Amino acid sequence: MSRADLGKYPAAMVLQPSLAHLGHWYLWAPYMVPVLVVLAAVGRAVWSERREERKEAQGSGGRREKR
Amino acid sequence: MRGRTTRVVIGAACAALITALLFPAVASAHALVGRKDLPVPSWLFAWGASVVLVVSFGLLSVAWTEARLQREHWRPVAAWLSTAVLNPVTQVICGLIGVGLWFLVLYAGFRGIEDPTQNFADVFTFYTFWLGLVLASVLLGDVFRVFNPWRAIGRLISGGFRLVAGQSAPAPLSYPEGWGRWPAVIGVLGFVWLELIEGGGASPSPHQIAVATTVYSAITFACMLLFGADEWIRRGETFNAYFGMFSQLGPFEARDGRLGRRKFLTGAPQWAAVPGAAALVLASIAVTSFDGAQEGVFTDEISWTLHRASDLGLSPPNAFRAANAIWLLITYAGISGLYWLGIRGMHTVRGSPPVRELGRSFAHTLIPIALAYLVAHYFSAFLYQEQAQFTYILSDPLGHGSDLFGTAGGGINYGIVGSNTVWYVQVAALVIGHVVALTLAHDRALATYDDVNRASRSQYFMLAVMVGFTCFGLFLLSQSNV
Repeated sequence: MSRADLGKYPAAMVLQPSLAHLGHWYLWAPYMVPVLVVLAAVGRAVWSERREERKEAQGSGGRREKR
Repeated sequence: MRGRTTRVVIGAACAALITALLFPAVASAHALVGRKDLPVPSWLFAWGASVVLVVSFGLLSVAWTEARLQREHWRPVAAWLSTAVLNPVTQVICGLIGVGLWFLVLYAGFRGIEDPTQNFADVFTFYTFWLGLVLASVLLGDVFRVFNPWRAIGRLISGGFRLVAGQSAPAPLSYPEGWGRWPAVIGVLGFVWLELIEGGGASPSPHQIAVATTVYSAITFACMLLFGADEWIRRGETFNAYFGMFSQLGPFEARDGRLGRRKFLTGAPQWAAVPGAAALVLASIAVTSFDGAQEGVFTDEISWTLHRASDLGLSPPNAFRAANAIWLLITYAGISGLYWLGIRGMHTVRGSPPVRELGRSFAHTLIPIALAYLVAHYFSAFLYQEQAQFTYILSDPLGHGSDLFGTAGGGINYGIVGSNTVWYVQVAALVIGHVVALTLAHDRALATYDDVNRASRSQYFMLAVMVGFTCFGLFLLSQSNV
């Protein structure tokens, strides 16, 4: 947009909220899918590994107590 | 449990696919004018690129089990070749060429016509210099250092001083360690301000470029006086740091007056061990992203911000500059935030170093992404503008109608590459850049963590970052040529 274009915007556009592309979500949604899939997979992997680590820690703690 | 997760993922993917297909007519209003004959929708390339990254990650985890890129194994090339390239006569000639081009930018800017497309200053500064030297640096090493006009002038003056005074000029100040590459970060943002914002929506005028070059030169000479010519050029000068960053990916480097060769990518890990290194490479990704988004994804947001700035009483040009500056900084913050989120995620793996150290030690892994973004965003523009550079601008640099080399009648052949070819090059650049980045990150993780499993686990987060950057880059590209 050039300086000369500044006055060309109608009043309605001035009132348009920012992040107007949120209204065009269908444009970027397909690009977000792989990101969400990878994020979900990472989250799940991290969560299950932590759970296993906790179990191992509890197990070894329990053995120590028995001794 | 595993089956349920798989079903959820497949369900989400199908929902997105169906949703996208529900709006083809509306979406095509934003589609790429020249890419209507792509065999599949452009967003499907993002899916394909993500699959390539995930597969690469899996292969790296299984097959790449020891760090191989942390040592350079720099070896000198044949003595005759080294002498031919690095002898004092060549250095002086290259320095003179650099100073000559610098002077021509100033002269064309102040004395040439004000049409940016017809003036040497614009085309040379934003295409041949800013983009061409990146490619030259990756392929040939840090070539800008020998052509650097400020270095050449600084060396000439300090050589003269030595001749007269019999000793080197003492630098009154030592370069603060904490500054690292931060002056270059400010310089890169300033350069892109000049390119995209200062002109108020149009290309900056040649006069503006000449004024900016004068101001930058004055600052550089002042800093060379304060910190020493070689010291400032080596550590603080913007373009030396910027092009030097890309040269770390390539195989050639001069050391102690000898030219040598190393394995590809092995220069990068050492480059990052300086404050501001991460900020510099993130800035270079952010400015390219902003350039892609300015007249694509962010158009509505920028115009909304512009009108808010106008309401505050700013004149139209200043409102334009303020709105674009805000969105440039938002882009920079977003890109940086994504990287530091990945680093925070890595930090959760047991045995991780502190976050800041981790962030710095993985900064070099973003250099291939910065290169990929540059290639993807400017490939076609570079091809077009270099035709102008070496035809009519070569013969008529001021735009006054001269024909120095008989090429003034030449023009730009916009049919040199098809729009589909451009798109495939863009996709290939992004995918290759991110796979290389993933490899560098995996290799660095192997050197950082004490076992392979932990190293691979730390890279889950970098994989997410890389997939995010790839999809974001492809989305910007798909929207920027609307």
